[in-house]
Amino acid sequence: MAARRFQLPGVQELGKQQEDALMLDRDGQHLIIGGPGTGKSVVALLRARRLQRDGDDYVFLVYNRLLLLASRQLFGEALRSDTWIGWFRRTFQRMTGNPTPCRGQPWDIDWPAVERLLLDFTPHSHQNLPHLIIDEGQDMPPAFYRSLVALGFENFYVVADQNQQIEPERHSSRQDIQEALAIAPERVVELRTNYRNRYPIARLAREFYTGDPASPPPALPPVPSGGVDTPILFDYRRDQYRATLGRILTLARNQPHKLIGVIAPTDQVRLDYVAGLRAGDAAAGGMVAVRTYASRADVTGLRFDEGGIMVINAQSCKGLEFDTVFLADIHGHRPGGLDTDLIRKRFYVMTARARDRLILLRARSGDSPVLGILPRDPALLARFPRPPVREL
Amino acid sequence: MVSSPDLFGAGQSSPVPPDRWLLATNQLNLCYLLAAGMVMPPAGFGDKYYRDSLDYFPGWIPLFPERVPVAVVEHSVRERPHLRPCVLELEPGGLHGPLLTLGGLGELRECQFPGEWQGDEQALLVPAPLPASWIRRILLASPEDRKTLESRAQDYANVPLGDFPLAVLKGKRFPVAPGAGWPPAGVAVPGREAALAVPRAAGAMLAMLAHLAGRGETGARLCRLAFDGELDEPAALDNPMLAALGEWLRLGHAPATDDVSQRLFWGVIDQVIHRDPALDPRDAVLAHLETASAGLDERLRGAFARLIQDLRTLAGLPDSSADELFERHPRSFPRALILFFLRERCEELLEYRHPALTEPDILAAALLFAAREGWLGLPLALRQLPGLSAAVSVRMAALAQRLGGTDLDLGPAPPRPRSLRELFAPGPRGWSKAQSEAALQLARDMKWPGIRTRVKLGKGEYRLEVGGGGLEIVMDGEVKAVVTEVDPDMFFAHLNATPIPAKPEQRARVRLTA
Repeated sequence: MAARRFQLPGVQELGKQQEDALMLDRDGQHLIIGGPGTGKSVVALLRARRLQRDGDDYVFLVYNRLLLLASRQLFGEALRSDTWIGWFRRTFQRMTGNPTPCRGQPWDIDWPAVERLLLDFTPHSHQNLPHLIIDEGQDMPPAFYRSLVALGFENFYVVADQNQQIEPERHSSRQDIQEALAIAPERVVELRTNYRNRYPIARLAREFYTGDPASPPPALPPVPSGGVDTPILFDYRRDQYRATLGRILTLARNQPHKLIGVIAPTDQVRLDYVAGLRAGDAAAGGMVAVRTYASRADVTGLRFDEGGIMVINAQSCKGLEFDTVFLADIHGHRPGGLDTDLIRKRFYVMTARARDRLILLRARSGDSPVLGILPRDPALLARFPRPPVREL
Repeated sequence: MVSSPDLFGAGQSSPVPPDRWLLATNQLNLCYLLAAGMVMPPAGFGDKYYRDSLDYFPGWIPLFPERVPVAVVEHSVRERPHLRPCVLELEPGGLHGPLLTLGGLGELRECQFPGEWQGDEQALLVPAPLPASWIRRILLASPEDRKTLESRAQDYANVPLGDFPLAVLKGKRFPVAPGAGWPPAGVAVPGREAALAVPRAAGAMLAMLAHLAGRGETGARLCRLAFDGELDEPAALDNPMLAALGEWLRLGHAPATDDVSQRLFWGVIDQVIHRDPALDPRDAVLAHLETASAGLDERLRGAFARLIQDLRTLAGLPDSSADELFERHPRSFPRALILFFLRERCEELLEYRHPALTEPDILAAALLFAAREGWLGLPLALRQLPGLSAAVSVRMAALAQRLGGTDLDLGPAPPRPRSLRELFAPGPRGWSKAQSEAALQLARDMKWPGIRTRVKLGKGEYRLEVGGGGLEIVMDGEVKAVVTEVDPDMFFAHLNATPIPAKPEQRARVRLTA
């Protein structure tokens, strides 16, 4: 498989808003808010590179091990990055001398207990604590930020999109972060313009925006309809399943340097796609690396710095970016039953994972509340096969 | 002492304009214009322009002799608190032709430069753009500003800051004219638009051809045509579609022709360059093909309908492999379009190899890719051929001046960079010592086969000994010579067929010019 690396943006690709965010003072508390495709993660990464170049101590915190792996492979091992939970547990123990209180599982931190312990903690005034750059900051709870302040951390650069939450009950709102870090509203930088996503993908993502004014969607210019990069809804018959997988494999062979993400609604669908893709590839000579990951599984062997196909489920896709995304069997999504708000949030997150190309796959017989949230406008979502024209 | 008047003007000579001129801007605009290879008007910066001296008279570049009014420096950093000032020192040695000047009292004059320079002017107003390669030094107010600029430039893939000397001024002061307000009151200069889209595309074409010139004779000839505007012999390029590049560069748009492929190809190039920025360039291609094919005969129309369908499928959920597509479309024009849909960036095309593709296929694709990305879109890795940036920078600006009808002459452009293929061309007695050493270095770096070692031994008897470490030849006395060399035929076969990364190429060039 061909190598795939993060490419620095060209000077013309980073807009004034992104530069305003990048040029914020080195020290202090900063919150960058932006929707999908506004380039907030790129800004966070460039910020980390600057601190590294200047010899400053920093940590780039990401949500989970998958994102940690992706960031290290794409940006290089030199990036000082960590998962937020693992890093917090070690830091808490080192600074307070106490193990981090947990509720059973090590990743399930008992935040009320943490905050109780920190009531008696006095940070050393002369200690040099690293700058914290926090990606997808909406996914950490408010108590995380409060605890960091109680531990004595002073320099924060948090990028967040309140609408990109898969587990809304464990998130921080914009206001939560502002209050915890004492950031004045006028010091929050809002990224409103699209950065790199193809406009049609960002436009489709906006269809699933649940309308929280605290985290605005990116501004998008009008896009001519019928463009080649318009996201596609591909309805396949059951007997076309293998042929559909064959097309995914053809795409992977034609563009071996691109990473294709297949995002499945359930673990069963994920396993079915992996088996089907591997069988199809083996029959054609085995040229494509088909890899998979399930939540909290071992990440060994996953590659974000090579082309190929990565099959994951919806819970694992947050923060990742693929060149092409297939949303597999979309009729299978049922987060929260029939709550379309939750379905919209999930689709908002999933669609925004695509950089160049987005294709939604649906078995033609499948019925689901998902269908009700898909836009009918072919300029936003092209349908194949094309629906018959109704005679008046 | 009072000198006697010279009634006949003897000893009086026309004032000579200074050889350095100053332009005030800010660091972020500087990064942009270095990436673009041209000092441009505000419109050239897209939506990323921060107000500086270039917006006083849009379309005109204000150049100051010796000192910049302090108001201009302050104006250049007013838009954002994070902006830092800088002053560029330009050396427009070859500049000739009509421009405007602002006299000592702020009066606007037309001037044939340099002949009509009077010596009391406070600024030149030069029609934009000018080559960024004319920047001799970047003046900065403090070591902190220098550090900031170096750091900012590293955030981007395409800012060649390292090509330009930085100078931190003593006493943290720019060469400013204190207290001077600017611009002078009541000066009205008609705004002018600079033609930048075609020069940018042309700049990327030059770069791509410089990289491809080593792959074969057609590429080498096309490169010479693009840089020097002519071929050694008129019939030297027997591909009319590619040969039309010369005419396209002269006109700035597709030349009229009865040749269908040529007309469609250069029509596509024009559409890609002048597309709506919100439009995917592939859509611009498809729209043009659909419109243009309507006027073709039925057979050609059918062929184009199949091509358009294949391209659409390729952009969506493809059902054909690259092998199948190249087999279905054997000519250079459709193959270039297939590549245009298969790959996105110029460096991806340079790395792409497929046994079915011919040299003209790749060259045609290179021109299309260049039209899509432009010089601004090229990463530093594609600009690092020695002499390429300066050669392209002057040619882009000169083309913009010509297309804009300014009659401004920027003087002779630097020579084009020579390809490795040219640099390795053997003389009448074969390779020179430098060429042989460079070939060996490159073959080693690239791990190419074809390296052989010749051991010259004196007359005598030799004993072969086979041991754990291998075979040894044991003899009395010394070896006369050990020569390691590269087989030229194998070397050229690999040179034509293999993409060469920047570092080995750089090492080979250093040896070639040693």
